[in-house]
Amino acid sequence: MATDTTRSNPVEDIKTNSNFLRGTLQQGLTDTASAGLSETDTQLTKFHGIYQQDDRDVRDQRRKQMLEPDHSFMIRVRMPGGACTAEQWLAMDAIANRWANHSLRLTSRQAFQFHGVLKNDLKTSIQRINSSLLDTLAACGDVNRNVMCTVLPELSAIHRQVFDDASKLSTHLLPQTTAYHEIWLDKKKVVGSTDVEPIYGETYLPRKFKTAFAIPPHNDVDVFAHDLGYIAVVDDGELLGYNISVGGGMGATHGDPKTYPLLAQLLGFCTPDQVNEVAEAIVRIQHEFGDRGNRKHARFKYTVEDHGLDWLRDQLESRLGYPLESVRPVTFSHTGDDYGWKRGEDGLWNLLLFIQNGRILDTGHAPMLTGLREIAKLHNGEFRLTANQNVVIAGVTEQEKDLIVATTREYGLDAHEQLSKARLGAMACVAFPTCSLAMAEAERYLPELLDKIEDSLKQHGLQDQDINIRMSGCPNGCSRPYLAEIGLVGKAPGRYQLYLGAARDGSRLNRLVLENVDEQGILRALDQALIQFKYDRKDTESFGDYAHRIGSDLVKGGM
Amino acid sequence: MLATLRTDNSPFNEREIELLRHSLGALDVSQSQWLSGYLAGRLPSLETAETQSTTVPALTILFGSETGNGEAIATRLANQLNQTGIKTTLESMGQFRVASLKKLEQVVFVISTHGEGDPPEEALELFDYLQAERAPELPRLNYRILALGDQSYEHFCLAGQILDQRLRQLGATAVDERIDCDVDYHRQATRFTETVVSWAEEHLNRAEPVAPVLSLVPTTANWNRQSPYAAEVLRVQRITGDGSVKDIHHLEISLEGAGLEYLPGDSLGVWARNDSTVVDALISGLGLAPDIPVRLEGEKSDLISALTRHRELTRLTEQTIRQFAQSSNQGALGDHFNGLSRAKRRQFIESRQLLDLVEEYPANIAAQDLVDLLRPLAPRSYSIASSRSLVDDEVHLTVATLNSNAIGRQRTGVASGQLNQRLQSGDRISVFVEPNRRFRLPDDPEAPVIMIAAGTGIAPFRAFMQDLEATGAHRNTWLIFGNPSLRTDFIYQREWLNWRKTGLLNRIDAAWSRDGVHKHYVQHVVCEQIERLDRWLSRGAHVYLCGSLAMGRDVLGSLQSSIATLPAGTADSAAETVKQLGRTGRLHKDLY
Repeated sequence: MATDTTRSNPVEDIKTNSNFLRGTLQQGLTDTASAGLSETDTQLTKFHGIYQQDDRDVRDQRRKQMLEPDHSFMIRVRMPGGACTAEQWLAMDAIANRWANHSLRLTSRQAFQFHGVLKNDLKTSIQRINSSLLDTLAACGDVNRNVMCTVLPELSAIHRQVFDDASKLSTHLLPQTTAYHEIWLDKKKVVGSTDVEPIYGETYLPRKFKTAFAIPPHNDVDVFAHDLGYIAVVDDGELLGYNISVGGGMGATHGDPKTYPLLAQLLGFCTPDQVNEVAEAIVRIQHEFGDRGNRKHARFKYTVEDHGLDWLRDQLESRLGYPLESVRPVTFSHTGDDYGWKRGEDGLWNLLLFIQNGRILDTGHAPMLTGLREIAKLHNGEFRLTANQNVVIAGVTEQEKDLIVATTREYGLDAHEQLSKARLGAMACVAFPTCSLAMAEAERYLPELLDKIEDSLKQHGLQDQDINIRMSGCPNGCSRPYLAEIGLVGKAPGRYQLYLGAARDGSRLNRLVLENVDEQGILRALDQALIQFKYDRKDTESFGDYAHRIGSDLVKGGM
Repeated sequence: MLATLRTDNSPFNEREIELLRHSLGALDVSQSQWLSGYLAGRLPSLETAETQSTTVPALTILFGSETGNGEAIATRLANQLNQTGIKTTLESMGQFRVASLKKLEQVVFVISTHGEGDPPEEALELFDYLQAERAPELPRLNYRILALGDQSYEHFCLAGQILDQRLRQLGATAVDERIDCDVDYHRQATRFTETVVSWAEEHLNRAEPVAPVLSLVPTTANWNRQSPYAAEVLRVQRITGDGSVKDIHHLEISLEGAGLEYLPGDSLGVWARNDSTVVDALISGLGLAPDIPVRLEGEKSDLISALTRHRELTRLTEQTIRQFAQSSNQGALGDHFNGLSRAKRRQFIESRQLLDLVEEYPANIAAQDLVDLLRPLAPRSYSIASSRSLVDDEVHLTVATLNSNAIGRQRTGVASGQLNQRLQSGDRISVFVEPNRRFRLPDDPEAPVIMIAAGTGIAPFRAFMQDLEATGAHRNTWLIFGNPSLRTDFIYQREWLNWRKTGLLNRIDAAWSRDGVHKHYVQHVVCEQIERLDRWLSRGAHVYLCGSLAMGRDVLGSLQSSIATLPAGTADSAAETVKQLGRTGRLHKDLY
């Protein structure tokens, strides 16, 4: 399909005219008349890891009060592979309590998010993040974003290598503009110096770009949901290199048939030392050929689809100057997290804890934010955020173990020992009240819906069934709902699109089976599907595979 | 009126009368009202022209007024005198050539008091002149003073007192004792006018009666303070966000069919009624019966309606408290109150309503005594927040609920409580327009406008901006605004941001007192922005202040002291600019 890639959309002009992401941010930050920034600047803050949001619960009321929306900011931290030290955890915790809404949000891309930061507190918060040796640069925006990496391989040595490759790639693809340092860290621009963006140029990428590293058999990062994936190929304890996957992506728009989620395809194999040059070449191809006319068609997945995999391989190989090796066989088991203790081959222990929808805050029965702060105080190792919005306390010594177990019990962090598999495998994006894209509830609603789904599972004797359920407040799909056995995508308040039938290893998308259904409709359809699944499944067939096999007939009878 | 106009009863010749008949006869009510305001605005300069061309008048009336009330009284008196043939000159103290005072024999002063006992801006030059060491002796001068003030402020009618005292010192003779009027000045002012007219008729030479210029067209709308218009409330909307320490409401009131005109800068007088729960609590707290007959200004009434509709229950004065203590034999209250320092007494007065006294100091008082000692209920005045050119036949108000809880019980202001809490859309409220021609957009369409406000002081500036929006004007405008918190307290924020976005408003600087580590107020903005302010002033900007008296004082203080910090060479001229602002009519104050 031929696409006009020369015509530009408004965001392209904003980038071009921004003087390498500066815009009028300095003035906007000191404007006393608004708690928000200008529309143009809100496009640019994304590149700095900051989204302007507003409390949508009070939007209508404030309109009547002739007040602007209740603006605050979300700050996303860039942390390759979701790893941070205990010290960094404490720094993040302090920021959450002092300048954000007393909670830490773990994202589906292994990052911390702070919500509710006021404009006047942005600078201090960003400075604190940087002084902890983390940053927010390129955590959002039309650039390569946080690079993900499987968190919990028992193969500790391999993990270390892959994690290092992920970190180095993240650094390699960072924007080079000094705007970030000038605006947030008060670094003075050297007089007469000009910014150079060797990879991105002044227009950066046409759209966001996501990269993930997976270590089979774990596919916790959902590697096929990313623009670019590196799948570790390990033989006899040695990292040989990576299968390269390209052109995955979740985002779609309701009612626009030209937008859809796509799974990444395998392109070839590269060695660890080729990782950066392969990624850079692919980013440059997307920079050159990506659609700058239509942001809804600008993701790399459409570039790959429009030009074809062979074209891409030719482009890549001609830029690299060598041919790619062919894909090596690997197999994935599942995309979920394995909770509890796992011992690495280095002898250290890792404890994976369930965090419902990634939201860490203190509640009456589970003061989790406090609990994790206490753990961070006594723990000498690392923390790793998972792609399923959970947390790993990593590198625990045998001696530390008991104390950490006791602490998790004291602060209600041991929920993974009691909850149903359906709940432990579920995830929702943030959605209301802060996300400006949300069309329906997600994080605030999924727990309540799960209560009812659990009832249904129990009724059919399926309470021990592994089923992954993902809910997203809009079709952009931050919680990767199109890769869930049961996917729910918000359409309007209280209304969802119901998708069924993804593969548990992340190798097959689900399909839309019901449109615009309310809770009753969702529950009726699922109840009916579960009954059939119980009596009609083959051996150990997963719910996703069964639903895929039967298709939309599974829910037709009940409607 | 036009039909009776003749060369012998008006200052016009036949051709002028013909022209007036021709042009004025075709005017509708709103056009006539507009013209009346226009003529009122031109009056002082017209009168000055006249005095220069004629001999010494029999009587001169000088008014110094900031809200226009004093001017209205003075104008009425001048018209009555002229009609009875007493040759009278009416002048604003600001326009009056002070040196000519020593030539005059009969002068009536109408002077209001503002802020902390200050005379109005336009009287400053006269006060300076009289208070100077080399002020002339005034042995020929016979004078009367009508002083306007508000008993609930500390320095009640102080400007009038100072004027009185100084004139005596300079050898002038008071024809009568000075009259000090409270906010319900109407009856006293009428009596004063009658006294002056009958005295003048007896003692001064009369010429041919002169028809008053202002009576050619109605000077006020059909509706006024005495006969207010019962307007329908269209909308009552709280406009401070959740969590705000302030309870500010936006009211939209219909004037459809009323023929009530106003201009941006004017105020709306509101006749409120006391809260029935407060009235009931008061009556039962004093062990009285609601239907006890009482006499009210000579008319028969009963206690409950007297207290509901005719007496001040929410604003106390020293006098009220003392009389209440005395009439009710409440010695404890009297002793306590008299034992307080002056500052503590102010605090006591300002934080309490009558019901607080009754609950704190249980007392017995006769119904008639109670009615007699309380001040008549006065209308409350709100700066109008709309421009007719944009909102057509509506008038908008921005009202903060006045709250106090000295004895642990929440009390609200009589009008703010009714407007914000007790009124619903569809209800009616008695209103009238109070023109404030001192708070108008500059005549010069190019003159920049600096609007400085705190809290509900932003109201008239919304009216200004609506006017500029409707008329498509292109003047530089700048809002400096202060309130507790940006998130909840930027009054009409969406509109201001939109005006800035469209370029109608050039700049907003806001001070949020509770958002930062340090309290930040508009006077701090003035200090921070002094260089820009200086540039605007040098381009002829007008400065408008609206808000509390304390804010006005702090802003002007900050302006003065900050200007002194400007680089040498500009500080002097800037200080002179500030001084001249008031004198040249470029400083406009609406402070309360």
